[in-house]
Amino acid sequence: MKRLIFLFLIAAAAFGQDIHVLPVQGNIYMLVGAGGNIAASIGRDGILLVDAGTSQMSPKVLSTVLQLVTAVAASPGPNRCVGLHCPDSPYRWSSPSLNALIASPGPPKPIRYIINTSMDPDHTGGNEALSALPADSKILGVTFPPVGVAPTATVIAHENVLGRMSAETKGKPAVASGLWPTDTYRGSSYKLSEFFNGEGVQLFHDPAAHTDGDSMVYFRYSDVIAAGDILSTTSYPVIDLAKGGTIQGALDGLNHILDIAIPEFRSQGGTLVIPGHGRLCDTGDVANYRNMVAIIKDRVADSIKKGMTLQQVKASKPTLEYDGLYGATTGAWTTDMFVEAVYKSLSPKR
Amino acid sequence: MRFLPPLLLLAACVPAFPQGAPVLELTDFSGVWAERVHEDSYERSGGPPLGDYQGIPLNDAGRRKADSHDHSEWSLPEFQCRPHSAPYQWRALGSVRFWNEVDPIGRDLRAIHVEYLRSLDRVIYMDGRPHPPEYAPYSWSGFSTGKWVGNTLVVTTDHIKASYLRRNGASFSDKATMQEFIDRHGDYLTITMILTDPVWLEEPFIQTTNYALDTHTALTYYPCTVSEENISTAVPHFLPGTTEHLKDAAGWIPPIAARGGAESTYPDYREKLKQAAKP
Repeated sequence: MKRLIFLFLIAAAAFGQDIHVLPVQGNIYMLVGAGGNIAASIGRDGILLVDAGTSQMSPKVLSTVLQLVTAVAASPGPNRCVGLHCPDSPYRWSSPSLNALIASPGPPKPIRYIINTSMDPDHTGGNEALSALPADSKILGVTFPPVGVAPTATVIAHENVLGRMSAETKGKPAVASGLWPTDTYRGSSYKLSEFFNGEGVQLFHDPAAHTDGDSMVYFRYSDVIAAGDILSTTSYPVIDLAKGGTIQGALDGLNHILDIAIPEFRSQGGTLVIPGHGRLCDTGDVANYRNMVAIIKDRVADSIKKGMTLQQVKASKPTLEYDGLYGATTGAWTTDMFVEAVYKSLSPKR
Repeated sequence: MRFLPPLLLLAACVPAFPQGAPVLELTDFSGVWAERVHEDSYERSGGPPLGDYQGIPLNDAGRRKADSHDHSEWSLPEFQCRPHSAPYQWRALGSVRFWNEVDPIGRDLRAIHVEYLRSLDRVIYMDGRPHPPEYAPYSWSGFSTGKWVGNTLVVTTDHIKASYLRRNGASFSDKATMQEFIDRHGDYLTITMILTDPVWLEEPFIQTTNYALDTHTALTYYPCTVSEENISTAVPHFLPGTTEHLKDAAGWIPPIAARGGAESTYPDYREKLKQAAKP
């Protein structure tokens, strides 16, 4: 099976796909290149996606995850259930059961869940396209969805995501209804009501971090956290003040990850963390990032305490040593915007 | 027979390896090596003075990073068991063990493992595999590949987690890459490290470290347990301009030298120090 996955990955690379697949741990794969990172649970129950990427990348995301589930859960493989190695299944090696294993396995299951970690379009843009498969989808010669399987996926998010996406301005919702979550939760955490691919999946709400609707998703057997935009290795944390984000909430979110994560040995390995953007992380990486956020927050808070204006704070370069890692002078989230968000987030409300 | 016929001469030069030529391992580093601690010894036992960055080509960003360092950061639960990273490790206390991972059938050298007393197993892959993509995880040891250049093992490392370059806060970022040249001279080992960091160094940091073969030592179990005593919820650091301990280093070396920087790593910097010392 591992060889099949490997061959698939090689083939994907050879055909120049823009989506890169990184096998992470247990059932979990990280998809890179669709906007925000996507965490995918792939297995016998089908596909669960944490975030859906941008709408433009949906066809490639769909193609990638369907090929992946076919390779992982529906490809012929050698019979490993032989003699003493298969004591509890006397019929396993008899045809047609053998053929179902080595020649004609059952079809893979489609996308069953999409969990949105926030309302951002690079995380929710693919909701509609990925949650409803066309009836005659054929991937690698296999028809999706299989007979008897509902073609639509459940889209789950914190209720603040739905609230903000459906908020109307002049009679029009902020985001088209096809992209809205179909199910929401409102507490501090939420558990999928059944195992998916053999493990429990738990959502945690981190209020007032990147926004007021952030969720991180914990795969309890695979020991992988999909952190959404609470964590990024490529930029300063995006504090969306207009949508309820705060610097303290961002810091709390990072500490929340560290509370759950257990390193395998010496602050490394063990629980792996898929960030909203950037590379796969573990405890040591999250701690380094958390420290950076805490240090900048403390500097800006001290400046505010001294009565410095926003311009004076910017001039003091509170992010100086981290700009080479996370800073930007152009694009959607510049260093200036980050410092301003921290400043406003910490300034006394008038 | 004074002269071999040309064909026979050629045959004599061709080794009898019907399955193909063997992979030559030019130098065997296997064994335990003890550190010599004669280079910069003052900073390798008790640790360097706080605020002393001499010899490190820090840029302004790297200097700010170092200045904000509060040694209490070691109290953070995530940092208490943080190991030395690959770039720092050679100068750490404790022995190092090299061992070869060899394919038992093909006899080809898959990897050279380097184990340190207080750190993690470090693997130097020798089988020609590529380095991982940028989005793959980083580690304290980094991802290393090696190749032979003459008798020298040349190691290229990336994917290293950001960590300290000196135990007083002088650091390298996770954008750093490292090249090492490992040479064996009989019972002595010399490691020449070139660390390049576009974020916190203005020039590559170059350092050599020596070890001696030690046939009577074994690496011992070195556990680590996180202590939860007196843990603050804050991240310890100094705000800019409040780092009192910067004066400590200045008490025994010229203050401008303590600030590090590329120019302080060159011999002609002595002249600048002499000029600065003049009344």
